[in-house]
Amino acid sequence: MGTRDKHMSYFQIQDKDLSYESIDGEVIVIHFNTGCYYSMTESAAHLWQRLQQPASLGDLHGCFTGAPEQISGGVAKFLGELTKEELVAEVPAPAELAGGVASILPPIPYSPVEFQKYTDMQELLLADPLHDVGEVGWPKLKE
Amino acid sequence: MPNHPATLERAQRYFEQVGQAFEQASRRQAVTTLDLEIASHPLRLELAGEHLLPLVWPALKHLETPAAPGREAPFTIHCWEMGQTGVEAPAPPPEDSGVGAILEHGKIRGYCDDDITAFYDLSCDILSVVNLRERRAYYAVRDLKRVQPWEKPAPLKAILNRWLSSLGIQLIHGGAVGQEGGGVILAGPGGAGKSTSALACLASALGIISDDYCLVQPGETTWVHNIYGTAKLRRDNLERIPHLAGKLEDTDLREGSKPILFLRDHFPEKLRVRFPLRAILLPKVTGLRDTRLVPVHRMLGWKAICPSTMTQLPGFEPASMKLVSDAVRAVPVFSLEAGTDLPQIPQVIEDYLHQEIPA
Repeated sequence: MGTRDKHMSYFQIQDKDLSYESIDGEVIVIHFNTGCYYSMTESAAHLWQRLQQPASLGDLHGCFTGAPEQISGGVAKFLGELTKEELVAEVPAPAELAGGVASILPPIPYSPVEFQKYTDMQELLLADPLHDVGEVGWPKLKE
Repeated sequence: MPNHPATLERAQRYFEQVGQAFEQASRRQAVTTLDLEIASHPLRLELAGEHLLPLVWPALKHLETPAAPGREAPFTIHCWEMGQTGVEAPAPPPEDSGVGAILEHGKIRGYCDDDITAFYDLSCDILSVVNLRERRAYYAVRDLKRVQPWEKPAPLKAILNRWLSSLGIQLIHGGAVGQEGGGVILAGPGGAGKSTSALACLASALGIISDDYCLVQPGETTWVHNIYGTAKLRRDNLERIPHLAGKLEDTDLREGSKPILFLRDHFPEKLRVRFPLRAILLPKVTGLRDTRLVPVHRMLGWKAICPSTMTQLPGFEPASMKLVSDAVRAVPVFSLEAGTDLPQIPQVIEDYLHQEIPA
């Protein structure tokens, strides 16, 4: 487990609009707001598991064994992408040292951290304003 | 996240208003009552007038079951057509925030809480409102002529999905074939070969639950249940399945329509109500002669089922994703590399089930 530092940045999965499942080591995440879904394996899936609780960069680096520069570069890039996709966000430092998954997640050898993004559902899932409502109003559609 | 009190009140008030509209419709047209069972749960349809009978009943009548006294009270869906009855469904008043005027994947924003969900199908002009706590729902069709061809083979989807998923039974986009001891789900996007593979099985010893939609119920045994007793096939595929000749209803020639096979009418002995799930197969047209099964990563099964199910079912919730995931985890997944010699498809499936089903 890492040490808590209230000045450090901590990151965590934003559960509010997400749903995720792990099947045979592969993680699938659906973002119900954007309509996108993501697939993660190996290093990415491992980091995703750790991010279920608040994690600092140091905590995330500790998920891997291997060359420190490779690990820090890969983790930073991955975290940036997850943040851009609104899958994780910066959160307040946790009140207590992380237990649970953080305490039992053993480090694994580092491999490039990547995820696949799928947008084929996006159009069909996004909010659809009733722009075809006629003068009489909903639910009378314009002819 | 707990529901806002204003949402709870708004949703409940709207549900009551829709209910009053149905009451009015039922005073103008005699009510037809139909009882059935889906996945062993009783369901009742109450239709104000018979105008909606040809829309909602043909795909469900194979599950008709008389109501039995002392059993679980049925979940009831009240249906009416606005044009024929002259009774409009009330409009949820839109407000500046977009409440009532915005659809989020078919759900009317601001009129949904944990128990009540209001859906509006833009393409068919159908309002559906479900109340899980009261075990009732309303299905209001503006005009039968506006309903699109895909509704008849699989009617009431939004309501049935909301109700059944609350019971741990998930409607999925996928076919299913098998025997009493076990069967397989056929999953994949449109055009992958699900329907052709499923319908090829009609000429074999295998039974069929569906070619397009079925229910999965994960548990100690993961069950596949029947919901719609229909199959659809593209017109350009009809000649490949000669045992279907003359049996399909092909009266709706609008864009997006397909000939419909009502399995109860033509293959009643082949219809299966349920079986344990043994595998998920992902049909893939190879262009080669022979058919074979190739093991693939389970996640491909999830990807074949979940996205297409989500886009076809309004109100697909995170809990639904878990149900699909639990079903996928329970069984192996194979690519069904489907050859041009169609009888091999059911034979390969039968051979697999023969080795998997306990004697």
